[in-house]
Amino acid sequence: MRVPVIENVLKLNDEVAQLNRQTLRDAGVYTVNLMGGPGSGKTALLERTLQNLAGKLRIGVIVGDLATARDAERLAEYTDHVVQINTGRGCHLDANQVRQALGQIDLAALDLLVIENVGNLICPVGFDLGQDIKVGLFSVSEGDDKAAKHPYIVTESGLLLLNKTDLLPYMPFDVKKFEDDVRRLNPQVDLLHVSVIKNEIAAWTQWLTVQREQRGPMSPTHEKHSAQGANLAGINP
Amino acid sequence: MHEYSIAESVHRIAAANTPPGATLRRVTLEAGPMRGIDPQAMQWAWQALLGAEVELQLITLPWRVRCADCETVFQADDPLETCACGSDRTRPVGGDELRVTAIEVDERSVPCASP
Repeated sequence: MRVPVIENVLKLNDEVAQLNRQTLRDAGVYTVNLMGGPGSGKTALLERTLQNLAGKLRIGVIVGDLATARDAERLAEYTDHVVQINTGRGCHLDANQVRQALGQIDLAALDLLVIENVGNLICPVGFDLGQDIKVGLFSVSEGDDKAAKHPYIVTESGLLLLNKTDLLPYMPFDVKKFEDDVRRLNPQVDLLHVSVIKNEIAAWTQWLTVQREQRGPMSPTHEKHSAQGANLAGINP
Repeated sequence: MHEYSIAESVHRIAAANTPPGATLRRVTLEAGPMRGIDPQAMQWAWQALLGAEVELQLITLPWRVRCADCETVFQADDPLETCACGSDRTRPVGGDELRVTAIEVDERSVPCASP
């Protein structure tokens, strides 16, 4: 017997994501889901971002990796609010993992939350986490064809970053070709160039600040990061 | 391997739609090309989860591309394929479909105790 069913496969994930979105909005926290390939510079970008915005925005990070707490340890140098999620075999974060992580973060102490997804240009894109915006990070060393070859991250992102622009003189990377592919896939998306290693990320930190300001007033108290008191929480499956 | 977590979700939906007493035999899943689902990996994940008793029919949908100049929508192998009119002002439409569209079940074979 054939039973017709029309059901969105990720409905359950999307429902939990909606709960996360409500929790984060109620707390007045602007949330970014940062996606990019392994080695594109996601953690390095966040280290610089936390440094450069210290005293201006209170930023928490949820970081997903298959294994190790290395990223959380790096980021705990700069913020007290880091939660590591180890996904085990999972190639992406899902809304339920983020829901658990949110329980370990003091949202009242934050203006901005960045969820650093598992390094992967494909799997994370389809899983809503409850973010305000998805940000896709590409880098010059990955090659100029990566936008065209990974259309979903381009169409789903509200902002794209091209990192390692300091390598442009040394790499056969055609910026125009890359940007043309991006524009054809997503004419509306903002595209910013950054060089994390040279600390040329002002366009990105400025963009973050504007997005957060549009969300509403921030709490005036900006407590200092206490290096010894870092709350390095972790979640394992 | 997002195929594995998708397989889990597909099975949850199929199980929830299987009438009481019936046995699930086949599930039809439609996936758009944006989803980047590898058919072989999907079947592998499905079998790892359920064994060979339940068949997964995976229908991978083609790219649909719209031309901004002549407004034609056509099926393509490449999301940035050039239009037959010569224009390269094309972009994919949709493609993010991921849905269970049907299941097939064997109705209960054991006679029911109560009428």
